[in-house]
Amino acid sequence: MGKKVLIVDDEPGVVKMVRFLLEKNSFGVVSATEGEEGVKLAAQEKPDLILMDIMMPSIDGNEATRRLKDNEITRNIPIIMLSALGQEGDVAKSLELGAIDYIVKPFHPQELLERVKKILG
Amino acid sequence: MGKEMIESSPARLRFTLGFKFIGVLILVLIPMMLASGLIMVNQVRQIVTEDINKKSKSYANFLAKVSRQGVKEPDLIILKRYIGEISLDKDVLYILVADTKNRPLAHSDKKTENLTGALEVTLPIFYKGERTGYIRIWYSFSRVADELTSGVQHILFLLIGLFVVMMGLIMFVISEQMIFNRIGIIIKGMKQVQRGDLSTRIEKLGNDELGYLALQFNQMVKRVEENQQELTLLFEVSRAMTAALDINLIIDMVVQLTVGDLQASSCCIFLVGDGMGFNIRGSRGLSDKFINSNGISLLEDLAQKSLMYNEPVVLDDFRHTNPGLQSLLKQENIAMVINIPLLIGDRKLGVLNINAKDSLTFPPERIELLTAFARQLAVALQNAQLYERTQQFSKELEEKINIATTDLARANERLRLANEKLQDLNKAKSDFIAIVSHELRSPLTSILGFTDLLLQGETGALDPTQKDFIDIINQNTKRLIDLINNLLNLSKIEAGRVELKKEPLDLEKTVHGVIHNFRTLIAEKKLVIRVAPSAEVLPPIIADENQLARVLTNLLANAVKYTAAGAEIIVKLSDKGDVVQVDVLDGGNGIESRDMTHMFERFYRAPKAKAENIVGTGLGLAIAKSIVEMHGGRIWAESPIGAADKEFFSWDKRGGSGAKFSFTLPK
Ligand SMILES: Nc1ncnc2c1ncn2[C@@H]1O[C@H](COP(=O)(O)OP(=O)(O)O)[C@@H](O)[C@H]1O
Ligand SMILES: [Mg+2]
Repeated sequence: MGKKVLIVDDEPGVVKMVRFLLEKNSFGVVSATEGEEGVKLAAQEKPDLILMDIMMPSIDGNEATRRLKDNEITRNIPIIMLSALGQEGDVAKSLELGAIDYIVKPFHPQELLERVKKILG
Repeated sequence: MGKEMIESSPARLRFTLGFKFIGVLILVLIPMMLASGLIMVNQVRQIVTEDINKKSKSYANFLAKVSRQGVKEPDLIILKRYIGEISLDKDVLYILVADTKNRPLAHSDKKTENLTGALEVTLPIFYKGERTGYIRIWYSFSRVADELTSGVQHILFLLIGLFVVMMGLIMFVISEQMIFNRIGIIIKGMKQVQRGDLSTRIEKLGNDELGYLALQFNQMVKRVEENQQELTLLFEVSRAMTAALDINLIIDMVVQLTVGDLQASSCCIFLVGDGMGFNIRGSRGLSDKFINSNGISLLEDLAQKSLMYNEPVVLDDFRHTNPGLQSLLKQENIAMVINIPLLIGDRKLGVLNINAKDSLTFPPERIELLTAFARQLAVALQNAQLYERTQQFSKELEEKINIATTDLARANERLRLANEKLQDLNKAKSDFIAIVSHELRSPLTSILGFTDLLLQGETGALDPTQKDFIDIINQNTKRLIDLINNLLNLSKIEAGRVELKKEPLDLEKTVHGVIHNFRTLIAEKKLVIRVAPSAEVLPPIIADENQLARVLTNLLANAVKYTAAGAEIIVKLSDKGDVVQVDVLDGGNGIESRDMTHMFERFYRAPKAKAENIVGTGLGLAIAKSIVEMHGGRIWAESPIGAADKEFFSWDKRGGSGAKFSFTLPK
């Protein structure tokens, strides 16, 4: 069985698109549509990679990342930010919090796939 | 100092000199007179003695002759007779003739027994060279005494004469002293005047010619002093006048001067107005009655006439003037009317009218003085008029400036407010753009992702029409994304929210990094991209890498976009001294010269690009330009379309005309 990827995004279209892309490429996919749920699910499912949107209701992606990095169980799961916020400051902030990569929306699915594959080998 | 000099005046000098002269005269003359007296007495004595000797000699000769062999063998009777004859000489008292052995031969009768005190002369008697005997004669001394007395008398007379002459001289010198003294006083006075002290007067010097001279002198100096005072006054008023820039003040000065100081009875100043007539600008000394009887306008008529001449017109005979004026002038007690035109070159400013009760008040020389003064007055008036005009002008100007300034201030305020608003708006705009672009990006992510997936055949094969339509959706999505990204960038730059993070960087590496991002596009279009590195080792440049990458991205994106498939793109790096230059050359269609100037403007797209349906927003070059200029660099484009020099495009082997975009970055 392939690796498991958790996607956290409040945009159902994006979740659906990414899920399709990854499942097509033999990844297991779990998803959450908001931050808190995502943090909970990450602890439960212990995915191999988390794709995290930033602008979301309740806690945002950066806050969720901080919590994940604070938690023993989820600390070592790599996180790729997927965000419409494309400014340098935004990127730097997330990378500082422990994100491994940052993909600005909108993106080509092919590009996302390449990056995911790079991390999950 | 000055005082001392006055005291050593010539009079005093002469005075002491006179005394010295007299002293010397006395000292020299008296011994001279005494000496000459003595000499004369002596001379008289000599003369007398000589006389007697001569007489004696002749007596001796006489006797020698008459006594044949002299008195050798004398005929005594004859001898006696002749002795008797000689003794007739009343000076002769006694005669004795002796032989060589001194034996008496004959003698006369003694006239007196006592021969003491008589003058005794003994002479030899020669006969044929041989001494034959002696004659001894006693002369009465009374004659000698007489002679002496008369000599002394002569001397006395001479002395008295001399004394009289001397006294005369002394008297003359003393009186001379007095004249000198008085002339000295006059000279002193003259010197004082010469030095400019016109208050000098000489005290009374008696009733003679010198006294009269002193009187004349005093009168002369007094007149000079008066003239001088008048001149000084005129000069001072002139000066004050020329300095004054207020016409009324000048006129006040003039009427004060003429009526107050120069003994005019009245005075008017008529100035030529803007129109034809005169403006009376000031008068003094005219009675109300005269004024009320329209006297001034009659004076004005006279002034008007005088304006025809360029010199003063003096009227002291009114018989030929109009009778009304005649009687008015008589009533006003005016005997003389002087009208002096006020001229500046040929320009007639007006007339200075001066009236006097006595026609002697203003003799020709004073009128001349007044004329000179009038010239000054004209200058002063002109100055004041000019000043008045400039004042007026500057006042108007000031008002205009004030209005303009308030207008300007208002405009400025409006501008400031507008600017503030604009800044607010700008911020609002970029905030708005940030929000909107974010809100646009999320849905676009889905559209781009799904169309990509569809086009890649991830959901199964598409028929050609489906593929075509979805491709269009996909293309337009990309265009939209580009637009959003660029808008965001530009709005950030324009809102001044971009802070450059400058650091030394390797330009070549950055270029390669950017090119790497284009690899898929390049592959799709089968383009060749070549980096022509600098011949020299490029120095590291200081720049914000992300921003620099954006510039390169935009230029390369254009090169790729506007170059036909299969062509070559070259990126050239070179060290240009102060700057490093990057050239991006492509093999596209090039740029028309009319597009050249607009290309770097926001949203400008060449008509050709639009016509060829090449996707774009027209923001790429605007962003690139902003970033390059933020770095202190310069960006420009060249294209051989219409350009004579196609040399630099010779690299394009496929013959495309192409474009060259270049920018510099300071080291
Ligand atoms: N390499 C090029 N060759 C020909 N024309 C170009 C090139 N680069 C830019 N242009 C012209 O300049 C315009 C402005 O360019 P840009 O600001 O990048 O906007 P866009 O590329 O989105 O149209 C383009 O529309 C195009 O007409
Ligand atoms: Mg462009």
